[in-house]
Amino acid sequence: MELDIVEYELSDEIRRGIDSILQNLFSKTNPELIVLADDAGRIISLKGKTSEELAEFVASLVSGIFGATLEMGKMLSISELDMVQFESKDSDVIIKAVKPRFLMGIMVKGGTAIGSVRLFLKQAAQELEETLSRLELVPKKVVKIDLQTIEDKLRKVMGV
Amino acid sequence: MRLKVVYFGSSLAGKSTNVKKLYEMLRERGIVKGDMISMETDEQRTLFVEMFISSINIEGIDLEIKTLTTPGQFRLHPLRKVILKDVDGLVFVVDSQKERERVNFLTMRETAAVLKEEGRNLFEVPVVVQYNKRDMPTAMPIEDMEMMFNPWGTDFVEAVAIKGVGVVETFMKIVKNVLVKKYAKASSLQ
Repeated sequence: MELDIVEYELSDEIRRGIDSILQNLFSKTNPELIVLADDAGRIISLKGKTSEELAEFVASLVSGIFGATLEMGKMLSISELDMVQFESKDSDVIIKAVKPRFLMGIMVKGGTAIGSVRLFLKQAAQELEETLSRLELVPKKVVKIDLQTIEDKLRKVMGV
Repeated sequence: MRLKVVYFGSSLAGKSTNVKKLYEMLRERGIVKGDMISMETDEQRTLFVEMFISSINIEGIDLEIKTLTTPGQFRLHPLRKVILKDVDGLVFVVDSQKERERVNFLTMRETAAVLKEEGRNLFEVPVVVQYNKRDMPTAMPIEDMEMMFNPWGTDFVEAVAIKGVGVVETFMKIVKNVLVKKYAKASSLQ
């Protein structure tokens, strides 16, 4: 058996579009962090000073928190739930759904005009929906590898 | 390339133990990124999720594998639905003890129902079955467990996760099975 391992990524055009929208939102709201992820917790893009690993975890939790809230919404017959917000002494966090299956989380310092943040976030979400509606995955790299090789490599890497 | 692997199984089957041990063992081998995130109750029961990221390079392709657990307690069903979203591969952690036979089965049935709600079929998702707690006095024979808990006829691993036995092997097999499922050429499956 032979495997064709194909790695996909967003097209350059889509990536530039996303980056521009997030940068614009960043400039308007001066947040600590903006994360765009899919509803399975895979990070698409981020703005802010944080490590890649931390951002991956944040993306998982953003999707988890939002998904859990949706489940609660179903049980309580809350329809069209598309934004979640929570506040602390230091920071405010808002998570907004971006159709068809993405989520954007933004964290701003406490005392920031949260109404403005929500407004800019909604605008950015609309722009992202337009950009992501043109989403196409493009093949980046194809590697041919047989099953025995993959097993051997995994055993070596993991020391089994 | 990012893969999402989820460990599911009944309450107290050893999912968290598996993932914690795996994190420790892979960290020693230098193939984890960052820390492990764990959301537990005060009684060390998983409330939401445990997760970490491992990074493996195969033939120039970087695989980033996010490994998560589901909470096992039945009351946390809604959270399991969230965590299983778009999973690439599953590890079914089965408690080998005879007295846990029924609860293992119920967990498998519930997981199938959760995936069905998402429009997926449990039997089409890459799975590895891990028979954990093989050192317990009431551990069932493997042949009996294979009939009950491996309807996929997929790879299985005997484990004592708390001692690290079978932990890395299970992970290696699920990564392999995910890659095979996602990328095997139909024409060469002969």
